[in-house]
Amino acid sequence: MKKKVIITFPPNTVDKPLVYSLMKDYGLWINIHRAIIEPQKHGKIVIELRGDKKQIEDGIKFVKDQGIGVNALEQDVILDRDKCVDCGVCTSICPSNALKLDKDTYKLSIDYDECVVCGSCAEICPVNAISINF
Amino acid sequence: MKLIRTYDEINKRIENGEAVVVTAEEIIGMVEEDGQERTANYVDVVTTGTFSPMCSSGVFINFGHAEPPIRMQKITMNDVPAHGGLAAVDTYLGATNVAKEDPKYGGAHVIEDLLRGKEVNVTATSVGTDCYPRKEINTWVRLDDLNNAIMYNPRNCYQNYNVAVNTSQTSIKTYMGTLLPNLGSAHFSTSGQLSPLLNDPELATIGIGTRIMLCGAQGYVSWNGTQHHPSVQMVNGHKMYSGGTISVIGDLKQMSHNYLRAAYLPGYGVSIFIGIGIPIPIMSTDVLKGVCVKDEELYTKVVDYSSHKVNKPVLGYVNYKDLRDGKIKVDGRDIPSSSISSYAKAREICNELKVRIGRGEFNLQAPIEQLPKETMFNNLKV
Ligand code: SF4
Ligand code: SF4
Repeated sequence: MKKKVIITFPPNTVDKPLVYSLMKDYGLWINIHRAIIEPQKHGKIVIELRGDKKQIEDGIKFVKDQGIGVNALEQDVILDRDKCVDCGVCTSICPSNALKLDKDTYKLSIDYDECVVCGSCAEICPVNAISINF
Repeated sequence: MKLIRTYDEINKRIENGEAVVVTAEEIIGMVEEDGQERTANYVDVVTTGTFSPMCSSGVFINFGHAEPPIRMQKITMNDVPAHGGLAAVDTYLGATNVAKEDPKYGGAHVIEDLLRGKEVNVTATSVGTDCYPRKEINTWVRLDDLNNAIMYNPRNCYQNYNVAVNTSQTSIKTYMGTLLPNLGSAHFSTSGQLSPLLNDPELATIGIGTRIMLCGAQGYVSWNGTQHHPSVQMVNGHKMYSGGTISVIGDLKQMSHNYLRAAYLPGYGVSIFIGIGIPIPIMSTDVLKGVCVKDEELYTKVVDYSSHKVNKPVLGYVNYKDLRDGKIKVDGRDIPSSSISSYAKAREICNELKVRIGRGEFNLQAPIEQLPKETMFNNLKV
């Protein structure tokens, strides 16, 4: 299985060789979609973990035990349904096809498995319905 | 044109709760099943709707007089300038004016805040006159405090609109949204088969005085819209209508924020989503022919917005079915398409209007006059 998460490093943990440990000690296959890491400041990476369920759970526990935040994308890429007017203009801007209007209801949905947290949708939404903590 | 029913007959049936009212989407299937003649014989009204950014919108406001009174000349509402060129405490707040301190907040946001019951800061200055001695005011108002808040939008409901694309090498920011470079995205702005003026292509029933649902309130078509310039051309064997516009009026106090939303388009500025529903009475089979139009029969032109000219290059013609399905072909290339107008909201508006007519809360007003057919559409000399 695969799971995409946003990992947030507090300032003093940025130097830890986290990705290496996840690969070597937990046998996870890793894909980094986006990263902002500056020494002495907090860092964020959007990461896709692939492995079996147990490997992923153990890996995430290991990261959390280091005092590092792990959020599912749902917690950091937020669509405010009350604000969204379902225009759909964001759907053609999204580089990963994560935003779609339902074929029957024409309402917007986000597929978090596809989202790479690029931020384009949040930038262009005319009613500010998408907020991204990154 | 054979007349099937009159406005009076329809309104009688609405009053008696007998009127058959369907949406512009439902009518398509009915006509496919029963044919035009039969459907026209039992459907009284078809509801149409749109929910799109419409920049040419705003509200006339009367604040009431302060003690001592002021003749307001320079006016702001939440830091957004409002027009000071009317009578002492009258103003027009345009949707696209922006706050001095925040370019992402504008008249549209003030209008939405008022509608949501929020307090809005009002400041005004004046030279002071014998009859209006006060020179300054700084106070707070809510929508309920205002004597009048009359929405008057000089141009809404464009009959048909361009698809915007970008052939340049960099993203461009437009009132149609941010267009990706190298034909990376195509944006359109209409509810197509639900759109009021596309369902009445000859403007036979939508005219001056037509009663409409404006942002959830009862409103009226007040005149033709600015730049109203109806035209028709043949594309792929279909008539492509475009250019019709209406100006509309209604009481902001009766409106709902569900059908009005302030918008900010990055790099362009502030606009306002306006929701409009218009009922079309099925007076004849000709009128029915208009309302049963489908997205695949409705065409529009693809325009290159990277050109800085007024008359931008047209790259081709596409229909609304392809646009809505998310992909169009231009010059043999597939381009992802999306709409800045909400189909879901347009549908909600059609349904809401259908329910109101069904309950007898909304009846039909025949136009007092048709919209003009011959109009001028000049460019400004420089
Ligand atoms: S652009 Fe904004 S309002 Fe439009 S569908 Fe996307 S999230 Fe919703
Ligand atoms: S953040 Fe980027 S990838 Fe994710 S939904 Fe928005 S546009 Fe798509």
